Amino acid sequence: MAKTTRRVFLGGGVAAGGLLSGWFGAGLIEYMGAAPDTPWKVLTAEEAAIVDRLAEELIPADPPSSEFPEGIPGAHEAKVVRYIDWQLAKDAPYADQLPVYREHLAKVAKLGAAEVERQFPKFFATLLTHVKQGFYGHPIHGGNFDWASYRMIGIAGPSFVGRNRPA
Amino acid sequence: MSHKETTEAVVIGAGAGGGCAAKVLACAGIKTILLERGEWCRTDPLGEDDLASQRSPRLVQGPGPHGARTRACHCENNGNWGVVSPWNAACVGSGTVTYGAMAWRFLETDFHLKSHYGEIPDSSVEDWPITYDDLEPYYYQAECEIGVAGSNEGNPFAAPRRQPFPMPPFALDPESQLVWNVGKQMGLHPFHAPFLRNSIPYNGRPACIHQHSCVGFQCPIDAKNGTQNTVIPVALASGNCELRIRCMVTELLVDDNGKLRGVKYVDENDQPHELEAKIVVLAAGSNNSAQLLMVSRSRLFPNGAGNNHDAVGRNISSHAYVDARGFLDHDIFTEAGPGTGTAFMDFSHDNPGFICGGVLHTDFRFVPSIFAAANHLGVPAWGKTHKDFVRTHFKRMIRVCGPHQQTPRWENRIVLDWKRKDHWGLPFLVAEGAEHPNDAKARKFMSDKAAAILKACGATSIQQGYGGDKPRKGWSLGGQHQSGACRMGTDPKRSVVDKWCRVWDFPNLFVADCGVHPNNGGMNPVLTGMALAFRTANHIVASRKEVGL
Repeated sequence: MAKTTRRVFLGGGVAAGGLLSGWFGAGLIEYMGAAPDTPWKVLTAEEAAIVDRLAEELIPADPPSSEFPEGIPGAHEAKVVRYIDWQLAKDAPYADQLPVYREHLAKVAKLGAAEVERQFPKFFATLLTHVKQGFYGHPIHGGNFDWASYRMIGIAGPSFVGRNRPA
Repeated sequence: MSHKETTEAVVIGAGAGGGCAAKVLACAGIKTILLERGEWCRTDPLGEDDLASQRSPRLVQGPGPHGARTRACHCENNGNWGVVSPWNAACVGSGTVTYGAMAWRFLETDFHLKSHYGEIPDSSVEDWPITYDDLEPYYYQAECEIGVAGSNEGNPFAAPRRQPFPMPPFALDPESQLVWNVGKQMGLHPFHAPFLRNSIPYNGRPACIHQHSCVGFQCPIDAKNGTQNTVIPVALASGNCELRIRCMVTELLVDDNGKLRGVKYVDENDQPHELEAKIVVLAAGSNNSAQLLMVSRSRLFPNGAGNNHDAVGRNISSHAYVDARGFLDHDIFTEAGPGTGTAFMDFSHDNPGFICGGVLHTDFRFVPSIFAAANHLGVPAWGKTHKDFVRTHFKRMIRVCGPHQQTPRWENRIVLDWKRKDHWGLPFLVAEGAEHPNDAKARKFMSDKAAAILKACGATSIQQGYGGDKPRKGWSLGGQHQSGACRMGTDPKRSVVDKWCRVWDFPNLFVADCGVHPNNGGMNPVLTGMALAFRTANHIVASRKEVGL
């Protein structure tokens, strides 16, 4: 589904590089390919900005710390809004929910996440589910940019063959 | 106009049972056509994608069904009446491509529940028409031909084996090792969970490399053993088996004299075909095999083939999983997967106050998206606190879970909803019924035991999941581990197939999936389904003259 125009090289990818052959090689480019920024597929700039703002409130960025000198990305940096935009696109898995988004985003433009949860609990639950998928799920679908959540937890990204052998 | 042709045997469904049956028939020289509604599952599109895995198909069902065309039925749930979700994969190998691959033999008691526990009111608990000993050689055939690693050392509850496991068990990861040690201190009997995975190079394929993402995914190096990389290739290599993918069987062709002539199927271009055969083996999975019987109406079988006593589709059971999870004060997660290693059968039978029970075991790895989506008691669902929790606790989680054996009931069944039809015009399946009161007790008991193990491991914030104290309506009927809809028995009025898994009234129609199980064990049923398929197909070969083969 995701069209790859530029590969984002992942930490550890070099080590796996020698193994990119045969049965696994063909598919790998897709897995590695969190695609670059593209214009939104279905959301308007205003709608995307609202989703982006709410998503960042649900999963906020962390400031630099001793363990994470560069901080930890939140939903904005992990491109969760791109994940949601892609899934709402025509023929995408959540295409049927675009009208729901459209209707509610118009109403929540000025509301914080807690207020959205209070006033529109059903929409909020959907949004939260999708935001978590976009932050913690596989980058191939547009979110979890650069494996932000995996790096936060401290686990390997794609388990390339050989990568996850017990030491 | 439909295209007509003739063959000797047709097997419907290239999953666990169908693959085994097709192999036995083809290797005995019987010309066999294996029909599969899905297609070959490739590693590439499924890969590591946790949002499309068979275990967590948030976006798409990676191995299939893909979209409306291969979807067997719509997916919704409205309490008492729930439309059955497909759950099982639709591809060559079906669920055996992506399963967790636990390879249990049912216990001896599972084959004679009624004799063991007596008459259970409001249930359809029966003895099987066969014993564990009858099935034992075919368990071993399945273990060898598909490939199983395990050991019963330390497990006094296991049914006796005539031969050792074909492969040694897997080493334990730190979580399973901890649960093993603590369980032993508690007086329990830890042992290695058996797997349809290669612990050593086997059958021309390599040993497992311990991907952390295993259950729900296709193995990238083919070290997980399903029918797609074992018996089906053998069947095809025999020269006697033709596999036709993207072909959906829509009807069993029964003539006005009540004779089964063959099947009708629709190909990928929606073209209908008629395929005449001397033998038909139905292996579409419990629900869909029953559906095919029910939709195949004819003069002598107005309610569907083999359904003159309204027994088709009844006695369904699947598995309600119970669990307990908690958190240690240190990390225990390892990248090496897939997780499950230690198991206990201490609570599978003869528990206080209820019948049956089930196996308990450490669980497969959670992927972050499942962990983050789960409800964690005392933790807000979003915001910095939730994010911090995921970061600090993901690697500390410890979990013990298991399936309890549901009490079969005549009233628990799938029915056809003729008002709603799928792509091929087949009526939707709807699950109907309610859990037996026994099972609510069993669920809580098993979850309490899991929690006790975790507590002894030093876990805190222990959270139990067992679905509440009351019997549930329409809960966990015919989802994963679906079984029972074509029950095996001795009474033609209360069962669908005889002890050879032959449909009553039809000399040439057999069922080779978990639908024949009179009860579904307190464990994953696939190895039993495979063993029965081997037994049935061997019987067909042995008695081939009777059906004109």
